[in-house]
Amino acid sequence: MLWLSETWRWLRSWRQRSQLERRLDEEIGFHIDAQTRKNRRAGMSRVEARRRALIRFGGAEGVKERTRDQIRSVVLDDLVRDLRHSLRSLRRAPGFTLLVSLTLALGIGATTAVFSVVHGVLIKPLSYPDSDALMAVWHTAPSLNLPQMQISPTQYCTYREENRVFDEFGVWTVGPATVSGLEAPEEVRTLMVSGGTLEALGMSPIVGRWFSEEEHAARAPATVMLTDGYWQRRYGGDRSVIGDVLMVDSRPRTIIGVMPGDFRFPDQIRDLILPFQFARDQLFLGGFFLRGVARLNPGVTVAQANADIARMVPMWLSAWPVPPGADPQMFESAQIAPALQSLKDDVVGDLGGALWVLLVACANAANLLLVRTEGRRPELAIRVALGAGWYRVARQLILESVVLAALGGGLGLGLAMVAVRVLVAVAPASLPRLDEIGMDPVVLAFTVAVSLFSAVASGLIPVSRHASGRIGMVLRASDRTASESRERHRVKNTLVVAQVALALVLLVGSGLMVRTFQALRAVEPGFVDPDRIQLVRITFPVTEFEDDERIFNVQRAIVDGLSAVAGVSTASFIRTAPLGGFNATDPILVEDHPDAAEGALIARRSKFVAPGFFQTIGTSLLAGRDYCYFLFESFHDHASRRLRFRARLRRRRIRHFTNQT
Amino acid sequence: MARQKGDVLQGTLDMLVLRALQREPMHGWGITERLEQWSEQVFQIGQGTLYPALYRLERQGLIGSTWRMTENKRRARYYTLTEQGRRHLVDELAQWRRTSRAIELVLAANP
Repeated sequence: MLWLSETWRWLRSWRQRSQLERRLDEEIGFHIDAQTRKNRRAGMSRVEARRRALIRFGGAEGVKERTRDQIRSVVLDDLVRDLRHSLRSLRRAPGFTLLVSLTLALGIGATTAVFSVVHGVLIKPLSYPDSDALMAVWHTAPSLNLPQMQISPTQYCTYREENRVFDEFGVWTVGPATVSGLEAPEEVRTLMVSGGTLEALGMSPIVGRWFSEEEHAARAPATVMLTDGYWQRRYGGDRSVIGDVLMVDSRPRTIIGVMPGDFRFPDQIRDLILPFQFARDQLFLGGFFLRGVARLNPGVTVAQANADIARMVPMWLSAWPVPPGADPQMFESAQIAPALQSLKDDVVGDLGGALWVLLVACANAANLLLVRTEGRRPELAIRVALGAGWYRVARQLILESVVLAALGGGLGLGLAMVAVRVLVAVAPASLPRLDEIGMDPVVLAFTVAVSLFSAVASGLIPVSRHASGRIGMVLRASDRTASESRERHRVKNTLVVAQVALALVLLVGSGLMVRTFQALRAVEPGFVDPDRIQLVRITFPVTEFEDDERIFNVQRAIVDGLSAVAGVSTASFIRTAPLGGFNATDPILVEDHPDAAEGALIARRSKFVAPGFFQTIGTSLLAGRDYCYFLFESFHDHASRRLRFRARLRRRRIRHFTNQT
Repeated sequence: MARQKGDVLQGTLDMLVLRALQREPMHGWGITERLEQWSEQVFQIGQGTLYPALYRLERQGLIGSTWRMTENKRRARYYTLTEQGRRHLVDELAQWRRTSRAIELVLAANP
């Protein structure tokens, strides 16, 4: 109940403040007068009497302060008063205020911007239910020189059946496809999944259902799932689309379901989802082109999962046939081992750089505040002399830096919003979860925390220097001429050194990055004048083109037709675009030149090209010559197939040796 | 404020102030004088502690205050002991007598 009367008293005193002030003054005045009269009666002069009375009474202001403390609520009043005082003094020094606010704004803005990127990409959990249990399944094959090896269909079959640690397990890959039959043919991005993939991710479709096990069987009727984006675009969100037929790569597929709008796998929104239909009787050990995803059973650790897969590797090796013409030992000696990692793959996350910037900004702000407080030493000294405690002075100084940090934080937030937009615009398209980056409550809370931190960090140093102020020294000496005490000098020096050090680290880091970037730009990509090169993607639907020779003739006709177009100088084919990322990676054996390393197979990245390709994109050959169509005329001849193989390899070997020498 | 020999603890000061007001209402200056007189100049109440104490006691409802004119035609604030204050003083006195007697006993006891 005392609390209630306290509040009432506080409210009342708030209104009657001036009146109470006057009365207190009056009361104290009366006291001093009475003492003065007594002194005069004792025989002192008037002046002397008053002086002694004043001394006897003590610091009137201090008394008033302490008395005031008793009659009204201490904390809030003083806080408001200090706040007003801080604002006033900051307004009187606009240049200083602006400078410190901007410095802090830059630091806070940069940190917030980078944090929002890191948060969107790295920290925010994936949008699948219970995403911590999701693992990406990789292998290592050190003997094949592959630190990260993908999964083959046979491995998928074995692991799915024999594992003990996975709740669900599936494989997937991505690729383009052509949808025809509606208006104009359209190229779409597809995600191909096996049984278990969608189940592992756990996101239910908004319409329809997932693929069933039967639909993943080899000769089952073909089905397809849509994603929400494609469904809205093509079908306007019509729920009766289930059961309709869609021509994908010239193959009719029945639509069985639609995935929700925030289904993003692996990191971008796809258009269609297709089921793998493995023909188990035609599978071999090799073919590592799939990616694996697994949901761990509750309570299973990554180590246990790795151990389980290691257990299954020899089972897999013995369960499936070796591809024809390959060495059975090859797979054994590959030393394939599991290497699971969390599904949240590693991303660009350089929060460290922005934190450096913030530290530099804080050190800068602290220095500025220190200099300013230097100039206010007389004022602070007088305050202390009037009876203010260390706590009061410290509180006022910290409040000032809080105000500055609030200003800086507000500006910084605005800066960050702009910066994030710019970052997202210039970020590489391959940055995962790009559309999940933005401002959200977590980022805002982070900004507030960072602002508070910079307030305390930059305000604490002046506080610790000046709150204990040596009054006498200050009031006596003129500020401009007196030299600084050694301590103060040391603090200033430390600050400057710290700032320079931090700035140097930043500079060196940026310099190295610039150099790396320049080196990257100087790399020969293998082609010249990319502005004059056009890439056209063509897929040959397997239903219409079953004959190798027919494909070959059509390709030849396309090249001839393209070359005849006005404005085209040469045309050719390549399997996957240069620097496109998708390469064939297979071990290559040279008959005449056994590898130097005994028995170890090196898998090399290779590309499949048509004649005329190197001329088209402008690659210069180191030695030898390009293919020509003459080599391929006798296509069906087995011997010439071997000839082709050898011709290719000779080129590679030449290049390899040339590079080595 | 340096601690002088005559400084008293806050609780004891409250009791002394209430005691000073027991007979008749008084203003702050008068209380100081009265206590100084009675204690034979031992208690020189620091003004820094007296006025806050007076305001605190008033807040707690142990004393009340009014503005009156003194003999010299000056306005001053007079403090009065309230009923609650009277009861509180009696309790405090009893407590003090108990405590000081105990201290005396301890100091006089044979080691």
